[in-house]
Amino acid sequence: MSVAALASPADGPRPHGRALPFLGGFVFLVLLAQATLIVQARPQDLVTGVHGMLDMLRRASPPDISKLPDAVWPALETVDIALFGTVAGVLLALPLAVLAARNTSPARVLYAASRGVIAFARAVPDLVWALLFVTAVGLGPFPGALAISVHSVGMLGRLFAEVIEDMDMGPVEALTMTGAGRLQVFSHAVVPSVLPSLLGIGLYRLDENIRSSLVLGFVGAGGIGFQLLTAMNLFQYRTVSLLLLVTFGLVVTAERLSAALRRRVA
Amino acid sequence: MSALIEVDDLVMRYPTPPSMGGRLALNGVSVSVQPGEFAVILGANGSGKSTLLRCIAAMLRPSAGSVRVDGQEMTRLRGRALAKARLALGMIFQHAHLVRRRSVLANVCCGTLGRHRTLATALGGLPRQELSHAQSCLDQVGLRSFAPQRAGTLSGGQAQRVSIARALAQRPRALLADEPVASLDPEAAEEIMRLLRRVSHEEGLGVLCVLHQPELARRYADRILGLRLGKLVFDERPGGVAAGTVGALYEGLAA
Repeated sequence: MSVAALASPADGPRPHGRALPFLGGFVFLVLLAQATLIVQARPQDLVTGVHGMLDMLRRASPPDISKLPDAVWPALETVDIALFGTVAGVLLALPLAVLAARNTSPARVLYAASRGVIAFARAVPDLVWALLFVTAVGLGPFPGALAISVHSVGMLGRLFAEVIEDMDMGPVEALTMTGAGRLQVFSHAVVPSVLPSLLGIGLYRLDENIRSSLVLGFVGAGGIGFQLLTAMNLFQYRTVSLLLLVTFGLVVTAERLSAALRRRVA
Repeated sequence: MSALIEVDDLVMRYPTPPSMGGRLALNGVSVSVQPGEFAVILGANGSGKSTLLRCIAAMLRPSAGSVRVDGQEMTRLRGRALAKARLALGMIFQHAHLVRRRSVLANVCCGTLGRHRTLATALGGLPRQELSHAQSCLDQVGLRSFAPQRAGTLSGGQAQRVSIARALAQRPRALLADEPVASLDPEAAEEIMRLLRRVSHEEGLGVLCVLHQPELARRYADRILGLRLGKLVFDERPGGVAAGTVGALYEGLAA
């Protein structure tokens, strides 16, 4: 809203109606040019590198099916890290979101504090959280689950708060007028109105979290990512390709499942 | 006999715009509603009709004057005491304000929450002992068979009747209605007006209703109050109100 307001000040006459798009285009081109320089983009490297890639593909196929049983446990770990992290994240995000929504927050101080907590949890990437928790509680799936849950609090807290803020306040007003108490109004008017949206967002988060928990293994936080890293370091490319196939299967299944469940709660 | 709703010399000054010392929405309004009386307030937009209702329901705190509902002074109450005092007042809004995802019966039953402040109801449970009472309130508005249906599936007129049933479930002594038919088609509007008059006459409720349709007011109200620029300009039986008097409410306001 504020951005739109800045872009077009009211509906008044715009003296620089022609110049503005031109200037915008120019700024964009300059930005793009400096980005190309900074990332040292050399498309020709892709061509000369074809050889190495083909070689890698040859060494990675066929996928080593015999390693499949070894991949089952890490795969389960990956899914469970995401599941635990999401559920814990939802449980922590709910009360925070109620405090961080302008229309349900009981006090300005609590509003600001919860907004701060949510923003901080979101600003730090889950990979960084995982590094921190690995240092704190040691290697394994638990630091991964902790990282996922903390980062989820940041993502979910903000979305939950937005859902609550967008809610129709009519029923809240109506129930308040019947002489019901604050908590009663909350549980009878707010909760039923927002619950389906919150469930949908939570399911979407679960899907996202399965994808991030795959990567968390790279920093020692358990799961299939850890296996992938080990196989890479040992140049076992046929194991790598198998693990990538398993990963692909997990991600697609999670996406499909989450989408199907979200359709049901909508 | 003491009145159910007694408004005495009410003044409401909104703080905006501050440059002009605020906007005077109500300027010394006195109104009283007796049990079993159906009173309708007419007035143009900005005449202070809604402000008056909101002051009576203590959604707004008036700048001066007093509001008594069933003998209880409303203007100084807060928190728990205010919630308790509001039990005597049922409120009906322009939109039904139902919880769309819950059943019709659950919505009606919510009207009784104020009388059952328990842990179970605070956590989202309905007071079971009130279910049959809620059902009978639904009967009163003629929607018995809709009890298990989701509130979101109702038409506008049905939803408004359910909201009246919710207000009745509260066992109020008086009803306040803020433009209850403004977003309904003519037939549904007639139905709501008949219903409000019936609960007023048969249940002995005092009803104070804000309307935009002078013609409906004339046919259903026991008394018509005219509000213009925050002042009460007439307060008479429908027969005593001349068409010109009503028309004057809306004249010369298009600023």
